[in-house]
Amino acid sequence: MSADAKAQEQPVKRVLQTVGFDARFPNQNQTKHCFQSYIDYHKCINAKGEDFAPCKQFSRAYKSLCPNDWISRFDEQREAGTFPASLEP
Amino acid sequence: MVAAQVARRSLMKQWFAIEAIPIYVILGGALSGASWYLYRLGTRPDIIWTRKNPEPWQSVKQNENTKFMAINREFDRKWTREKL
Repeated sequence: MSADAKAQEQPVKRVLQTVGFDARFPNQNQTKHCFQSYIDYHKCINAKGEDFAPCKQFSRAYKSLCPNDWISRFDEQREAGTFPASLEP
Repeated sequence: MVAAQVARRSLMKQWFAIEAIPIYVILGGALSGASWYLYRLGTRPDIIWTRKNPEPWQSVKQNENTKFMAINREFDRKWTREKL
């Protein structure tokens, strides 16, 4: 009971952050950054497997940058094999 | 024969008007400036020219600046386009 109360007292600390500056995409238009991060994540997955921790950086990048419509469209294109870039490592 | 030479000289006088030289100078300056600017635009890392360099933006390192002036951030050097 007291252990439960103690656990509930400490709030879960969350760190909110976004994608850092990338010199390849220095302007306001980050669409290419979104696309590149998506491609890099899937290339990373295909090369190293899904549990490789450094791939998570790309995953965070594209999930922050890309509009959700685009993410679902890219996923559908990937399923259908019509994704417009090569995802081979 | 003489008539042909007279006709050619009057044609020369017509299309190269000596009093229009300032216009030629200003027009030449504007055209050369515009073409130089287009050349500069063509060297940006977003532009793909050849199949040998399909992703030029990947050659930009994280401490290189691609813009004309860097205001808010320090960069070590300016990016230059190595491959066409």
